[in-house]
Parts: sequence; C-alpha cells; structure tokens
Amino acid sequence: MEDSQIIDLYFARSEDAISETAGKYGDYCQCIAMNILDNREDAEESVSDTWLSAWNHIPPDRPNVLSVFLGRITRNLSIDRWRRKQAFRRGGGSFSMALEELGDCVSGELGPEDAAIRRETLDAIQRFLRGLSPVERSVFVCRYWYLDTSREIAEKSGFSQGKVRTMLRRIRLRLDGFLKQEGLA
Amino acid sequence: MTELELMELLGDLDTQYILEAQALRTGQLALRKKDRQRKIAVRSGAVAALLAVTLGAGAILKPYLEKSWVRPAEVEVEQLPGETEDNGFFQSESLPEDFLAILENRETFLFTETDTDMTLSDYTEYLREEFKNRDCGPVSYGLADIDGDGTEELIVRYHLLWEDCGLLILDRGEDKITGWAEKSDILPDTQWELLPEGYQSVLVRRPSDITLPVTKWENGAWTEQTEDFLIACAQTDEWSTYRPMPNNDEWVMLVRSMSDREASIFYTKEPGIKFAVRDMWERSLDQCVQWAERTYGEYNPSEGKDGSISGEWQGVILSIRFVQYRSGFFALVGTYPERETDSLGVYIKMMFDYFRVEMYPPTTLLGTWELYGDVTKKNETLEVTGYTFYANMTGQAILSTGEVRPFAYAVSNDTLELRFFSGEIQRLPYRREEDRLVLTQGYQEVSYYWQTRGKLVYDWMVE
Repeated sequence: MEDSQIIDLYFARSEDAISETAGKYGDYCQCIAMNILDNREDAEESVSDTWLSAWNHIPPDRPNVLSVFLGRITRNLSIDRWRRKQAFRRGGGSFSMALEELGDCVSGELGPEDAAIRRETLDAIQRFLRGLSPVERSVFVCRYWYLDTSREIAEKSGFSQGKVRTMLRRIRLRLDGFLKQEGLA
Repeated sequence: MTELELMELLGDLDTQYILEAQALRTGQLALRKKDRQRKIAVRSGAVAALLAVTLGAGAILKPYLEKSWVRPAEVEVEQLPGETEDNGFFQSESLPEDFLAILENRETFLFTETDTDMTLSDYTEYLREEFKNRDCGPVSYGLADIDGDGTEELIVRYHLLWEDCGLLILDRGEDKITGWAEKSDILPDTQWELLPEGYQSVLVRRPSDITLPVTKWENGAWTEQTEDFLIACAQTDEWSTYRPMPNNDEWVMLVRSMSDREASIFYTKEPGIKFAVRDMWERSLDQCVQWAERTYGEYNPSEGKDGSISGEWQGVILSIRFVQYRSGFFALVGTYPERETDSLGVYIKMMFDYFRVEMYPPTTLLGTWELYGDVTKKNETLEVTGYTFYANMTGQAILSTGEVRPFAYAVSNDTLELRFFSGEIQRLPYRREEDRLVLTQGYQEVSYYWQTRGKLVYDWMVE
C-alpha cells in the first residue's frame, strides 16, 4: 500500500492503519530500536509504542515521508526507553559505544534547556552535514541516526570497517571544530 | 552538551539526509562496490609494478628487460629480502614528510581497528600477533588514492615471505594520520618502493660481500679457487642459498607454478640458466625420483647413487638434488648450457652446495628480550659439578662465539647447527625437555629457556 493511502487510513481513524504500517515498516523500525536497545523484547515494545504514537499524531500531522516519521519516533522512544532502563554509564552495548564516540564532538556538560539554543545547534549541525560529501553524510547518518555499527556500514558500502571508522572519526572531529567555531560546543 | 543530548538532537536531522542514508543501508546506493574487472586489471598492473620494483630497485636489471627477458604469464613476483641491499631508504622523492615520518617510526598514526596510536613497528607487532608469525613484516610502500577521495594515501604492503599479509592504508586526517588494514585484493596500480631491509624481516641475513671458495674446471681439472663475489642470500622460511653474482650478473627469483606446484625459480639473463626450489611435500625419495624422471624425461635423466638426477638435452645440462627437511623433500633443479660449465654452471653448482634447510631464531635472539639460560656441568659419571645461571642476556649473546653471532641456524632431529660468517660451523647435539632446550657439549649441558611475555618461545627449534 502506498504511504499516502496508509496516512488516509489514519485520518479515517481506521485501525487498519496500524496493521498496514506494521506490515510495511515493522522491520525498519525494529532495526532502529534494536540498534539502540540491543534487546528484542524492549525493541518490540518500542516499536509498538511507535504505532501508538503515530496513531496519536496523525492527524493532525501529515508526514511527508512516513518511513522517516516513524523511524524518528522509534528512535526517540528507544532512546527514552534506554535511558529509563539504565543510568547512563560508559561502556557496554552498541548504543553506548555510539554515545561514547559522540564524546568527540561535545563538552560532556549538560547543555542549556533553552529550546532556541537547541534549535540553533541543530541548524549548525545541518549546515555542517550539508558541507559533507553525500558519502560522508550517509555514513554519519547511518551511524548516529540509524545507529548501525561500523561493520554493518562497511558491509553495505563496500568500504572496509577500518575506513568507515576512520571516516566517522574525522567527521566527529570536524563537527567538534565546527560547533566550537559557531560558539555552540 | 552531553553525548546523549547530541544523540537526541541528531534525531531531528533533515529527512533528506535520513533518506539518503537509508538508500545506502538498503543497498540502493553502493558507495564503493569493488569492481572485479578493475581488480583484475589492478592485479596484473601490480604484478608488472612489482616486477619493475624487483628489477628496477637498483636499475641493475634494466638491460634484462631491454634484451630477452620474458615475463612468464601468471607469474607472481615477490621481492627477496636480499635484493634490497643496494637500495637507499625511501627512494620516492615525492614522499611527503608526514608519511616519511610514519615509515621511519618517528610519528604515530591512529589505527582505527583498535583506536590506538601506533608506530609502524607497533602495527607490525600487532600483525605478527594476528598472523601468529614473527616473520610477517612490511616490504614495500606506495602512494595511491585507494579510497577514491581524490587524495593519495600511503600504502604499506605486508608479507610473510610468500604469504600476503595485506595492506596498511595510511590516510591524512584532520589532526593526524589514520590507518586501517585492507586485504590485498584491492592492490592499487602504483609504483612500489621497497622498505629498508631492516623493516622486512627479523631474519638474520648473510652478508652481501663474501669470499667463497669456488671449484672450477680449468685446464682439464677441477681446481678450488677463492673468489670475491657479490652475493645475496635468498632466504625463505624454509631454506636459503647463496646467489653468486659475478660480473654484476643478477638473479631474479620468481614464484611460479612448476609441475602444478608453486616453486621458487631463479633466472638470469642467460636463457637456460635456472635454479628452482620446489617443495615435494611428503613424497618419499623414490617418489621424488619418479617425479623427476617423468617431468624431465627429455633430458634422459639418470639417477646417481645419492639419489640425485642428472641429464642433458640439446646442450643443456640438468641437475636435480633432493634435500630432506622435516616432513619431506625439496627438489633443487638446476639447468645451464653445457658451454657454460666453466662459468655460470659453476654458480649453479654453488647454489646447490650452499642450499640449506633453515630454521630461524625467534625475534628474541635479535632483540633485547630477557633470556634465561643455565649451564650445568657434569662429569663422566653425569654428576653435576658446576652450575651457572645467566639472566637478562640476549639470545644473541648466548648463541654466539664471543662477539661473533651465527648468521644461520639449522636443525635436525637431534642437532642444532650454527653457522658463522667465518665459515665455522658448530653442530651441537640437543634434546628437548619439557621446559627447555638442552644442548650437550661434551660433559657440559646448556639449557636454554627463551621467555618472552611469559611464554616459552623456543618452539622454533623443532616441529
């Protein structure tokens, strides 16, 4: 079924919307959740919560790209779940490793709650990513949005794992420099 | 900002970037699919490049290429360690300083597999652990844009003598050079430069200039003469021999198929002059002889009393000897034109005569690892009369005659053979006990325990 038809089902408040969404994007969201939570049960719960969240947001929302809309919800819910399940500590698990890597780009101190500053930081990151080559950008997003491992990225891209790690490290360091330059780090 | 805050913030990235990455994840966008055709082209190019390196390292062999040198098809060319002796270090004038510093171990790079800073030596150690072999080492380097990003990386080739140990790719990062390992199936077509000999292996080498006795046929009789030779030692894990080079003539060694099995074959510019070493694996001597008779039937071969084979065909003399090693035989096959009996034929004979089955000492014998040894002196009735304990000594010191260290080691089931540059050969009976190697010298027994990182490392002595 086309995404627009699925969205129409949501607007019609038809429960088929959820089954159609799960059929089409279940694996996609499950993968994102697993990358973060590293636990099948938790991931399944996170994905179920995604369908509920989508049901609650559509309408009034009408997502342009349903996959990314759902993936974003799964990602956020999974991070919340991960945070609830364990106090943040370094080491252990794929998500923790990704977090640790992001330590290259941040001070590690709690940032301001100000939504405006967060928006400004996000805009800066978007500008930074725009300046990357599509290859670098995709590798970065695979790692830190989809939380794919460097091995998985290597398999998909044809790069060696070492090359992927190298590329990611460079991007992180450049991002760090960029945010500092913008006065946001 | 914390890592988690950033991670959450990244959740709001542009949809377009997420779709772009999703295309990669689902295989719709292959960033760099290895192209088999390119790989094949690169391979053949690389063989040529390697041959050029092998031949052109000192420009000694250029005349060969201009004359009658024919490169056999399907030849894999490898560089013999001994062939680098006349090379300067890091010949590439275009090698940038930062890469040079890496090659010279002056600077570290970030090895991304382990996320640690390493020198080239550190990486070599790492690789040796991976390959479980101390002889794995870097042999050559080149510059190429291996990842297609428009800038050249430094590529270092690693070899375990005949085995390829892959490539180390060194690329400039924002802050420092980063390195990662690649398989050699993406070998780029570039000009390879040889690394200095010291990088290539931990093996002890014979000297490049040496005086050797040569038996020549002159005035109707064999006479022994002493001649000065430029000489190189062809040395592998399993065997070594001298390669005399009178009149600046050169040998080139290629590894190629010989009767369906890989063999090391030495060529010179003279057609018909060849010396080959072929591992017969676990064939018996009789089976080896049968193989030779079958393979070289046109030479009308005949078997000597010692199991050697000789023959002649169209003015070319054939000699074959079988040399036993631990689990089988090496076939040494030499051919030379009959007219060259007095000259090049003599050198082929020397390659036979100086052929040795080799065993090599562990790195500890060359380095500064702590070694422990003790000497237990016994009398005729085997009572212990003296005991000396050595500690914190190098193996070199232990297995030396004063300041002179042996350049080669060989081992049989019960004898350790040490050879010195002076020509002296020591043959020491030994026995292996649970935790030591015991050499017996008259009534004196010397026990060696080589120990590094808590492990006994004398297993090199015996299979």
